Amino acid sequence: MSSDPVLEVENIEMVLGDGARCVQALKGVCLSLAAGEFVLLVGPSGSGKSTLLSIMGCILKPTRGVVRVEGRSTEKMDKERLAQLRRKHVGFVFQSYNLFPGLTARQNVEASLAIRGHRAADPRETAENALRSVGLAHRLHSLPGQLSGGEQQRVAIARAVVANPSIILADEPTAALDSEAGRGVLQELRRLAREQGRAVLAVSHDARAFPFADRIVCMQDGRILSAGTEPDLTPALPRLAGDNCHA
Amino acid sequence: MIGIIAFKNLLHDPARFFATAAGIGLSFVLVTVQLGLLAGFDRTISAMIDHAKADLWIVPNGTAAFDDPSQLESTQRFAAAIAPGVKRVTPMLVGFAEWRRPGGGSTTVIVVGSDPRTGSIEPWNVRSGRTYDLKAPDAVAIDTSYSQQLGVSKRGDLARIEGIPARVAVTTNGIRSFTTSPYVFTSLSQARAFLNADASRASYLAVELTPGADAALVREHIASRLPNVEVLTPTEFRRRNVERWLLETGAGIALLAGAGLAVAVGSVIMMQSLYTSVNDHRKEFATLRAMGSSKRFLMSVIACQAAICTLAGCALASIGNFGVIALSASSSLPIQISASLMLVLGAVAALMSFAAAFAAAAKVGRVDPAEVFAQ
Ligand SMILES: Nc1ncnc2c1ncn2[C@@H]1O[C@H](COP(=O)(O)OP(=O)(O)O)[C@@H](O)[C@H]1O
Ligand SMILES: [Mg+2]
Repeated sequence: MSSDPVLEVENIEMVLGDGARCVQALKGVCLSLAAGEFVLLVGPSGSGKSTLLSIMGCILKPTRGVVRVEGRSTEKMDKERLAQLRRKHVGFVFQSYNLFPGLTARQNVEASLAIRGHRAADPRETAENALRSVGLAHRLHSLPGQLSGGEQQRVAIARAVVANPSIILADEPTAALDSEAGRGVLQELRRLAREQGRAVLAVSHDARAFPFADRIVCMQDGRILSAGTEPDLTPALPRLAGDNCHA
Repeated sequence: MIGIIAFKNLLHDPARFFATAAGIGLSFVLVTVQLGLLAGFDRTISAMIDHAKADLWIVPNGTAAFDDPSQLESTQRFAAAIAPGVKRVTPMLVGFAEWRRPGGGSTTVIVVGSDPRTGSIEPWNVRSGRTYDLKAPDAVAIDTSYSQQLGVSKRGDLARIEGIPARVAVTTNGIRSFTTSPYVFTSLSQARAFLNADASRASYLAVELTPGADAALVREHIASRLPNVEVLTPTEFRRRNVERWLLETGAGIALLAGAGLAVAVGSVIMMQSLYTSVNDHRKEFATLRAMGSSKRFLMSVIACQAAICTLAGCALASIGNFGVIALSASSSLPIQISASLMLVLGAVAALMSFAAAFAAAAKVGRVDPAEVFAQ
């Protein structure tokens, strides 16, 4: 199913902090994401998942190693160029939603278009459509504070996809949600991969997320431990993750 | 959308927004009031020079301020009058004198002697009587804002200056003196009587020029012919007067230091308010940055936020300023807040607010967008 990888990292090493408190958060990580696949990144707290996600999303530059987005290496890019790459290719979903509390759902999604300088299409209509597609047609004008956690995360998903990025990166998108809302969000992420052909990478602690994934990557102590790609591995993965990944 | 993001960011927490606006507003009021005091001071101490009909002033050598005169030979005016380009030279006598209230007790006044119509200065803001009435013997003009201090309030009231009867013939309102001694206007001859000066003495000679005369030439001509005097343009005399009071008296220095301090404190408070306001929204900015917003977009939002805060602050400040102006109007040092002062300060405030916002923005720009992944 995977063709050329949309997003690819090779031998990533990452040192965070400085002096005595410096931590090697990643110790030679290789990972690639193809269009249309939903990959789950699991592992104990502190294993480097967020750091890897930030590097793959071109938010952080790795200490060593290569990041390729749509086949292009980011090595020589400066901050502005990386920001440009993010707004062109990457949609982010955060654990704590990171919506603008003063903006309505629709305005939050519109803001995502605004930073991309979208002028041609009707941004309002585009934002409303994105919200409709995540099942929030009735919540266009609500403020984040008036929405449930699950609804807020779906607004965040609408915001991430509205500009049509090929890559979606989500850091523990269901951690703050109850299981039903979490399931809704995971279904939504899977739909982005299956139906819209985006490459989706999500960090999750939640064993209930595993059945949704095409592939599960397990991290520990800055390294990738194991990766299950075979469909028949999937039933075993909750146990694998529970035994090996959750310290 | 930039405006909406900025506006909603702020309005989402109205209390915090109000605190920011109030911080900016207060520092704005502080600065305007202090600079207004300075402007009021400048205007009050220069009032006599500003109201005199003089294109050049002949003053005794070393004269430091209008209110602090020595005397010169009034006959020198004839020598000055024949200089080409001079239309008229009129003497003026200024000096401190003891004013005895009709009800008892006394105070010090500054007598300003100059003939009405023909002289170079006469009272303005006249409320009762006509300046020509000062021609009459023992007639004086007083300002009603000093009624209490002088013990007289209306035409016909009688007092004594250095033991000589003085009758209020004209009242004015708003001629304030920077010192505690009020100005009392009278005719030249009456002033000579009050100040016990003989007819050959004067404090200043005010020179009026014929139209088109070259002030610099006339000045040179007069200066080279008259001994022991200086010839000053009104601007020079004004500056000398202001500097004397501002830089050489405690009150002036206090005022100047107050204004300097206000500007410093005001800027700090204002910058601090804005910096905090931007920093409060750090998470939103980091999110924008993570989402791939360009630095330019981010700065636009921050600048917009700063502009909204500054505008709100200035709006609060103008309300405050009107209150302060109203309260100070009748004090001995009215606060002079002109539209141009407000405009200049508004521009300065805008500059400062952008500086503060961008100082904060620089920090946000350096913000690790990875911060958004923090739990
Ligand atoms: N800014 C930082 N400075 C120093 N160490 C950090 C920083 N951010 C993360 N770390 C460390 O790097 C390691 C990996 O962190 P992280 O990627 O957040 O793990 P995870 O998301 O899997 O919980 C942890 O040991 C964490 O303490
Ligand atoms: Mg994490």
